[in-house]
Amino acid sequence: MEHTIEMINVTKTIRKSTVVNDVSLKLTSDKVTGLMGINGSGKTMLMRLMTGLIRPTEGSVIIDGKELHKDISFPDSCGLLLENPAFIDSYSGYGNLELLTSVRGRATAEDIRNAISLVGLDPDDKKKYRKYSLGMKQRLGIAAAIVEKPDIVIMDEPTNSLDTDGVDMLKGVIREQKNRGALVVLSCHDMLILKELSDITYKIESGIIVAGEEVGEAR
Amino acid sequence: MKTEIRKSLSGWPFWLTLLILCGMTIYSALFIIHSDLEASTRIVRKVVDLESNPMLSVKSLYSNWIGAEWMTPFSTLFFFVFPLCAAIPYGLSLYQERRSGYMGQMVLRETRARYLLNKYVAVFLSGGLVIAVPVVLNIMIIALYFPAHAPDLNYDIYTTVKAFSFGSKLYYEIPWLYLMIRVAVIFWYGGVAATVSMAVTFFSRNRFVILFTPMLFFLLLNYSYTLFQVPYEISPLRFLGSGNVYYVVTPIVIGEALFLSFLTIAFIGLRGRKKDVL
Amino acid sequence: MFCRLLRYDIRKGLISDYKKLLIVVAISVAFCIQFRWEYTSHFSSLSEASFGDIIFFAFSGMSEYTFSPDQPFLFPALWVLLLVLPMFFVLYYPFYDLLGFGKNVLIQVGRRRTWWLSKCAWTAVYIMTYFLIIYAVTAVFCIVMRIPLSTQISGETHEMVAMKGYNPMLNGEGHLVEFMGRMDLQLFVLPVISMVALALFQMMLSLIVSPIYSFIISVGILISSAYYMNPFLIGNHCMTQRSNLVVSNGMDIKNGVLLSLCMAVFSIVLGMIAFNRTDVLSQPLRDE
Repeated sequence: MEHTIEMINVTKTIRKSTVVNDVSLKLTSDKVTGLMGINGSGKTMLMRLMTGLIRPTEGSVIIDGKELHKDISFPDSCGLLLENPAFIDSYSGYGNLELLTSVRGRATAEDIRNAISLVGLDPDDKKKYRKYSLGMKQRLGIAAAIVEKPDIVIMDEPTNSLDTDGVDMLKGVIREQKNRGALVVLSCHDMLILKELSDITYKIESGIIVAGEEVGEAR
Repeated sequence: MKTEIRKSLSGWPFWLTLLILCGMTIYSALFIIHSDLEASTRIVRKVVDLESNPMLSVKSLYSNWIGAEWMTPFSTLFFFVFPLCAAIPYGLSLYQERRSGYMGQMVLRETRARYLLNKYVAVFLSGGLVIAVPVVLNIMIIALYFPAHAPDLNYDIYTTVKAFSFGSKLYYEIPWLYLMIRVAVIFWYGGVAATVSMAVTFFSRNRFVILFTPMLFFLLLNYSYTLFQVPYEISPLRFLGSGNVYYVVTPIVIGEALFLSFLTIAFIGLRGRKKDVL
Repeated sequence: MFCRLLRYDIRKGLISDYKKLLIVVAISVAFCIQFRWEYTSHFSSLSEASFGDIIFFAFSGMSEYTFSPDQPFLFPALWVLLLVLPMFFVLYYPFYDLLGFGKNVLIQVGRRRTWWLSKCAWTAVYIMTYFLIIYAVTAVFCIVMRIPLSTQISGETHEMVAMKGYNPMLNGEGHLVEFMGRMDLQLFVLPVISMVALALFQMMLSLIVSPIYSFIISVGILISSAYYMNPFLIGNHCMTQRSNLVVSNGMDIKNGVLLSLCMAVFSIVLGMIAFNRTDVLSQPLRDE
């Protein structure tokens, strides 16, 4: 089944400042979508709008034919990595994901172990989260976003704190998500990495989409 | 240091907290003035009362400012929440700068001791000012209505300052100086509460724990007075305002402030010097 | 989904953060010891004391305060401490949970209403646990000191707390009523319900103002409760000295329960409406 996110004339204003301005987009699961732009350009806000965490001031966001905040509050199945991941200090990586997935009860212990392994961490590692390096924290954040095999995966700056091995790992993760039919949206301020990771990219400036191109065209 | 002080006094937490506390002290002042106006009207109506003792020393600025009145719950509330309110403006700044890496940037540009000293002074000032300014405002409003009649020992049951209380000699002899000292002590405790919060930064990564520790500390101190039946009031939650005035003695008020100041300086100095800048 | 989410909240916001509750254990031990000292200084032995006596003593609060120019207002130290602490403990978890992977949880839950109701239930569970710890530590103290675990309140404790705290010159129009010896609802139900209601009110306010300022408002309500004997100031219902079983113009238990329920429902509904309209942005309440 193909998954879609459609944004129709979406505008978001926070304290008189327009952070997303009349954006219309249609994203599908056959192409990994990349959002690029400088800090403060509105990438994160656009992603929050897609997840339902914030409400558009104008316009509508439609996920798989259902309108957010009208038909549904949040996408039915969505994995998210927004900014810096924050987990419980005193739990291990596995413990944290186990707690997180207990809410829906969809992921098995095997799924958790697989997700942790996929991001290059050891599921049997008893090290507490507080002792993780920044890169390990980011990897666990990525694992949290994909552990339940969601239909939509949204990752804001997933390459933060990752070394070159980490970026390679991320490429593998994104490929796998795309192959199993998930709709993947990424943001990154590094254009080269973003183009390596995505099939179609959109450039955002001051909350407006100023350009969109298929990566093949650019190449 | 100037930059640090400017930063500490320019954030919205400082102004919002100041606004809330000023609201409390203004309410307290207006309530007292309103009550007195009502009482005076009643007296004027009864001609016979005009000949009664006006007790001028009781209707004085010195017995009606927020540190001496208990007619409204706001005076108690003000001195109850002061440790938390003192920490709000800038108590978290060291924590925020450690987390954001700004501290690392600063200690590379100036010595670590200098950075911590500047921070300490700014935190102390912001905590002290946010508590003391509303008190000064209250005194100014009260002074618009109540004259500064000198207190009279014959009417000591109507004031919170007994013969052996903190600064009682000054209160009855040079009351304006007494008032200034009381405000200075309130300022000092505000500063101390804020710096306790700063010191906790080296032990906790939870901003709520950092902010609330001064209040919890003073609350526990307040209860230990009752628990251990200490003969003198040791809780600033009570002795800074009008509460439990009978057992407030100068060595405790000054000694405790000195001890806490020393403790926070020692903690911040020692831990700050040794703790890695992560 | 709701039950799973509540289980998650309890694991994350209560069990994994159990260290805070050790303060409650310490304070409970402290007031038990204080009770023993005070009781034995009034009466020769603890032979007449009971479990109910200690709880009566801990939540005694103060008798009605009427303004008097020669009687400064002093808030009751133990009562304030026991009621301010849970307000602090439940303050930040619901908002901390909106950071980091908490956002994932919110999206997984699928409905804001479910998330909010779970946080309300978590708050109630937390407060109940808080009081349970107080009661449990007191019970252990009673066992160690060979004090009966009865909830019957002795005449001695009534005399030591209520009669000592009562001042006919200052306590308005009320007078002490003939004490019947039992007040189980007042001791074990009303403080819990009232504090759950106040905590929910605080959580709702946190959505509108920030958690810190909502905490200041909660403290304001508690201090005002001590100052004014008014049934609408919810702290009054948590003071055994202000119960109508102790003083004639005191608080009625039924009214207390009703007020608490109304306040809780109001807070839950208003909070739900507010949360539905809230943008989940990054308020860095706690950095890891």
